[in-house]
Amino acid sequence: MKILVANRGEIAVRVLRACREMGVGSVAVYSECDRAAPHVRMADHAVELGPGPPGESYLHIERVLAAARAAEATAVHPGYGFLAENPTFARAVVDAGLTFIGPDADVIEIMGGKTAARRAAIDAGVPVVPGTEALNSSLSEEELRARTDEVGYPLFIKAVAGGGGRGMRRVDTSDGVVSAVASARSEAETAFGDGSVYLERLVEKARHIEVQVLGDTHGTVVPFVERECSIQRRHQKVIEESPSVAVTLEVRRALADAAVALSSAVSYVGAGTLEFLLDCDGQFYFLEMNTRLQVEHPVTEMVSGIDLVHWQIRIAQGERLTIDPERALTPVGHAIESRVYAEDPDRGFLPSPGLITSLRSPSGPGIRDDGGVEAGFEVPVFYDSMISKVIAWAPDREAAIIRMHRALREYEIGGLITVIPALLWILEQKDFATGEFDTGYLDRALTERAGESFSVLSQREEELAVIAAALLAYFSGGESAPEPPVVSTASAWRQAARSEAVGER
Amino acid sequence: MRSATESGRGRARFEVEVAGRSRQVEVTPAEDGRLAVTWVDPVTAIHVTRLADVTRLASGALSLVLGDSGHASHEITGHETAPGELLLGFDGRRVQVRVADQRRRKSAAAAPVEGEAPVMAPMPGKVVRVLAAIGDTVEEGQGLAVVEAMKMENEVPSPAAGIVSDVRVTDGDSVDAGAVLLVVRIDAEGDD
Repeated sequence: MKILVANRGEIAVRVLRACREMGVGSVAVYSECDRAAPHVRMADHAVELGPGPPGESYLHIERVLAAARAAEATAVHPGYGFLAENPTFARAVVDAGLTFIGPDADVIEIMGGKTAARRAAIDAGVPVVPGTEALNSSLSEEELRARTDEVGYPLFIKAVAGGGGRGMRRVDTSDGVVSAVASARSEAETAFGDGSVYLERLVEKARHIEVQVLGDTHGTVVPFVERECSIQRRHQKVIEESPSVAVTLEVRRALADAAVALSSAVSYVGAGTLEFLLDCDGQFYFLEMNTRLQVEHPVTEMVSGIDLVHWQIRIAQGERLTIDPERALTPVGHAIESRVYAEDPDRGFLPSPGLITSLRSPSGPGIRDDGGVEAGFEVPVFYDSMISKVIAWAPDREAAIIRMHRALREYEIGGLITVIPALLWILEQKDFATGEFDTGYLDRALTERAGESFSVLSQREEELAVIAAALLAYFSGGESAPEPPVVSTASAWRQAARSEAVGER
Repeated sequence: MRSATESGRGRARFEVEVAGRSRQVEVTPAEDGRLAVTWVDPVTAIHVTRLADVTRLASGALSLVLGDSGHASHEITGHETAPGELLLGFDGRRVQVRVADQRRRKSAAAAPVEGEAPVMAPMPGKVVRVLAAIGDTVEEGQGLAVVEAMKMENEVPSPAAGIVSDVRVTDGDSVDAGAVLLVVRIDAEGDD
């Protein structure tokens, strides 16, 4: 088997590492601006796809397939994002005579459609958020009220073609239903050219809980201990962990059973994740299934000791799953993942692409850093702003939080602004320590801060900043630029001093 | 380690602004090779002197051991984001500071009061939409253009109330950080 990894960044590095560990041949693909990216050098072969914009490179199906032919790949691993959940791509890979490392294109199609996945879940006996299919536009006011009463309040009116909150209305009692449906319809019509809407009960104080599964080609599905991903900023996951403080042994079994029922019903093959909402009463509802490897898969690997990417490849080679189901469901210790985004938390999480001048990743006991960049690499503007993930494992949750805090303080990324100060702040919150949060927690907490800097300095820190600023200026200053003291080779600093001096003009 | 005095540089003074407070900071080589850093605290008016044992690491970061704080050890990265603007990093914190050599004139970056105010791209990216045209009257904070980077759209607001006097980009343009997108003429009587 020779695997083409149709992706970039940390996930390409992650999959290519697995290829090397398993002695499987590998092919990297890259866009023009990723020529110097680390993943290019971690593969046996590397093929350029085209210019930086994703549509001309990582999303260009024909070019990816041409790269596979050119490097004589026999299989394609899509990673996450880009083409990972595109059934047309999965089909094209198979039609080209290659193995697609993931489920069948038909399964991607079913589970990717909101209403189709919902129907499949209901058929498999898996609870879903109470709601309706698209509402008939000719419903009378009484009929409409009858439907909303049936779903229950509070509820959301959502656009079928929706996204980004457009065409979405919250309704708390039956009073405002008629006008809310009308305005949601007109907004959806304007935004998407499709005014159809449906109803969905709002699950209050819901936590985001998800279940990793692996399915083989022989009909076996293995579910894993849950992951909790409730720490989100505007629906984007920021910190994930496993296990969840909110999941009892009983709920864990029930979640696992539900995940197996739905995965088996669609003959799921490969790695996949079923996302659920969990309410305060321990009741859970299926949301959607991601038919690919997940960003946060490492927390599962850390508490189970099972390498999910190795298994993706072994399953694609036709192997039978030989994982002990009890082991997969019984976490050892606790793992937390922090996503390091190149965004400025002090400027409303503004994207912060640019040149990484220096980089020191955290390490030491219990720390795993899954990164996709290095010093000297310019983080492009075209792609996702996540540059790495830090995963901390410890015997219990409290120790894992402390360890994560330690690791993030060790992380030095020069030249780029990242969300690390905000991550540290989250880890310091009492609500985070006690596990009292839901999917709306972080957005509420950020609103409360009202834009206050995440790097507010203590008096001691302010003093340190004054000293450091003066000394940095002292060593790089003016026409009489001095030779600074240097530990090892002076060349690195001389080089830096020269470019700083040039940059000043 | 060679000492700072061997490096040939003597005493130097800088204006350092941290947390919105500015102070004159003097760096003086001490006889033992360390550097004495001295300033007057802007709040307490107390003279502060710290003896720093400084080593520049290959990565460009500074390793500091401070003699007056029980040998407190720190590692600090510094990155120049603009002339005279440093982004410091230590202990997971990021701090933007201003440093001016005493010989250089410090350019005051005060809020625009009157005149032509360029509206610049906050980061490199692609102009998705220009939201204003020449002659438009705009409010402070009103979105003038949408710039996309890393799959996120960001609205660039007007720095003040005024009239759009120039539009320098069109939809689809790629821009660098600091590129002028539009120019707003700020009308003085518009204030208050």
